[in-house]
Amino acid sequence: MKHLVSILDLNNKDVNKIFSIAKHFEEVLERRVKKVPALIGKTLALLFIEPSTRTKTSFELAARRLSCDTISLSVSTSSLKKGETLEDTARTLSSMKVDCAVVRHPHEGAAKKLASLNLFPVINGGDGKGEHPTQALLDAYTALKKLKSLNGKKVSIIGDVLHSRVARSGIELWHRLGAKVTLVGPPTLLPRHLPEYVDVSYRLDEVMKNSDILYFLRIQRERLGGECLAGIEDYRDLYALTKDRLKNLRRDVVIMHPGPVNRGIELDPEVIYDERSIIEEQVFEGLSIRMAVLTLLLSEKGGFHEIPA
Amino acid sequence: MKYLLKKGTVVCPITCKESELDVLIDNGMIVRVEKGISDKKALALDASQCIVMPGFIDLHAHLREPGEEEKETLYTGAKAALAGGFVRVVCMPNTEPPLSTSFLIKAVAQSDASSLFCRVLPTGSLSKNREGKEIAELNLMAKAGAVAFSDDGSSIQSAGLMRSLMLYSLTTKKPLFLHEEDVNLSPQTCIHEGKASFVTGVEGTPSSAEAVMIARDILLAEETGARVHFQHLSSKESITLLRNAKKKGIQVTAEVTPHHLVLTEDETVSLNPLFKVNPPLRSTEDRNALEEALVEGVIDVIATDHAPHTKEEKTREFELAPPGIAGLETALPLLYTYFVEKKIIDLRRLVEVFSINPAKVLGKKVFAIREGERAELTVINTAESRKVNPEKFFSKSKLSPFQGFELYGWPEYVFVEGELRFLKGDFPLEERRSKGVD
Ligand SMILES: [Zn+2]
Repeated sequence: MKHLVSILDLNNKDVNKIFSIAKHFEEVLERRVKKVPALIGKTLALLFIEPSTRTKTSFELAARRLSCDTISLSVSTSSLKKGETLEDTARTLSSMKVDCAVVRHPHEGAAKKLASLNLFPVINGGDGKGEHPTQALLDAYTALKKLKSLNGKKVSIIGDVLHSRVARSGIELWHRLGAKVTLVGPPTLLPRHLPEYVDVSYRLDEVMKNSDILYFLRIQRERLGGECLAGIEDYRDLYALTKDRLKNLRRDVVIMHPGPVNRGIELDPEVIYDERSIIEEQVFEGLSIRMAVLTLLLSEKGGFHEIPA
Repeated sequence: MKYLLKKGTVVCPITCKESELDVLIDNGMIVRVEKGISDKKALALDASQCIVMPGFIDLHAHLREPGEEEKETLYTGAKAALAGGFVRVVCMPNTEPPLSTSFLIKAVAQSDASSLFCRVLPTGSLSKNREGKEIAELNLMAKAGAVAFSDDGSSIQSAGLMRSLMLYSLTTKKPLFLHEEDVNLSPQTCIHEGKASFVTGVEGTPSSAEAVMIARDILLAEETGARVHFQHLSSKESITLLRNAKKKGIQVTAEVTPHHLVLTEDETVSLNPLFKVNPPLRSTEDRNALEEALVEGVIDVIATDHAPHTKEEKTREFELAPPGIAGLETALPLLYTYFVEKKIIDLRRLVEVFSINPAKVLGKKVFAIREGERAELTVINTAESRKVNPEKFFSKSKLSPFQGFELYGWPEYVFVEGELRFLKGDFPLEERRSKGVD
């Protein structure tokens, strides 16, 4: 049985397979009847121990488009405190013959722990500051569609990289697809011991001209004005894509954001609907990528490596 | 306007000059540096008893504006700095309100006083409002003209915050000026724990209050790569830490004040509030270590820590008086008389610690005396001595622990940004303005 806990669970062949299946599902999503019977009779559990509207909705819709049933367990942390462990919950789900689970959890390693039980395929829907592999896949796929190839392309990931599971999964995948990654943020919010292939910059203005992709991370408001960041004005001056910066931006640059955007913090409202922004495409490809991942994990033969393209 | 400085001893470590030369200044620029220049159109300034040096920079002064204008203003402070021989003065942000926003930094950086006297360069606070809790808007303040960041007067107690500040400062490439004092060790009495505390009975501030923070911040500087400059070092323990850090190649610099180099705790046993400073005047061994470090090059900079107070405040009981000395107008003659005259350091070293190294700490171009450079010159008279008379200070603070000291090396001419702004006790630009010539 295979899981998708980390981007490292996938080899390049797997990634390509996911992308090609996603391409197929894109067509499905454009049909009048947007549903296929691929996973009829299967059940996906959405185990969200941390609130998330976007990821949860995306997985739920992806499953339904594949005729897969879903059950939602918004297990509050309090019920976990009552004594039921994540493992207990998983075993209960297994007894109920659930076929697969997406886990969102505030602690790093939660998805991995669940996967190690080998009760059913587990998809990491985001574990603390750990990983968010389907987000990385959909990001890379959306950019790939726009730019045809990522080989040699310069990706700047901007903002709170340190606390970002999106960045942690993304750095590895962008790199693997041939892109050159630069992390941009205040040193207080950048990881300190980075692989050699990653560049670092402390100012957005230093990388703007040379970036093919500007990938903005969501900043948590509570970090503004504390021990990691000065106030919102200082942050915006250093890292926000403002109306003013938009004017000097390359025509062929691609603007991305995992959403939801803090309007007026990372991006000015004008930026979101700028023609260079592919933020809406990211949301769309979220569906096709997740449909592909579910299909690969839940189809009869099971697992990435066994499925022919 | 043309000026001809005649027969001064030009000392410029950058151009390796140290000889009697004339300097011709035209339209703010140095156009010739050689022997026997004559130019009838130039105003001749006799410098035959003088040393002509690249302009001096003070990295540490409290100019009190905004909020404490009864102690000092940017105007009086910049004037005092110029009279003290300085062409640039870096002012500390412990004002009321503190210089903690780009708005206030801009106001100080654009002060009118800078175009009449010594140019004032503001530092922004490190922590927001100097509260030691959050990061201040370092990037915006740097853009508005802050040349460095400091919480001087207080010390960042949390190692976590200090590490964050060092990291965050890298977005600006500006140095951190650190006043080092662990308040868990310091009763903030401004009495050295040693002879002075024993004799007076006042609870002493041990040298470790400073040294433990220096040790901490050397480690953090090494780890983060931030540019750290230690303010007003006072103890031999701190010097040892600094020496070792420099040997290891860690990018830290340090300053010492004239009063810590000249005075010791012996002056404080009488509990005369004029000698109340923070960090306190320490033992003779400490002073000796500071002197040794100055000679050796472990100390990079002499800075005044000019901290003016009103007479009312400064003449209260020792315990109640605020710490601080009005030091801008005595720093240069003190160093000249006590260190150059006594051949402890040479003129070249004097220029290093007062001009070249301060510029380097700020990451600015160093001043040099050669053709094509704008005139930034500090010219001192070494032949005539004068007694320190605080009543004649241009600073609002008319008090000094050095009152009555007979000193050599008083400023004679000072050129700032190409203009002759100090001329034997006169301020030509100020006069011109008051006459409405400009
Ligand atoms: Zn201080």
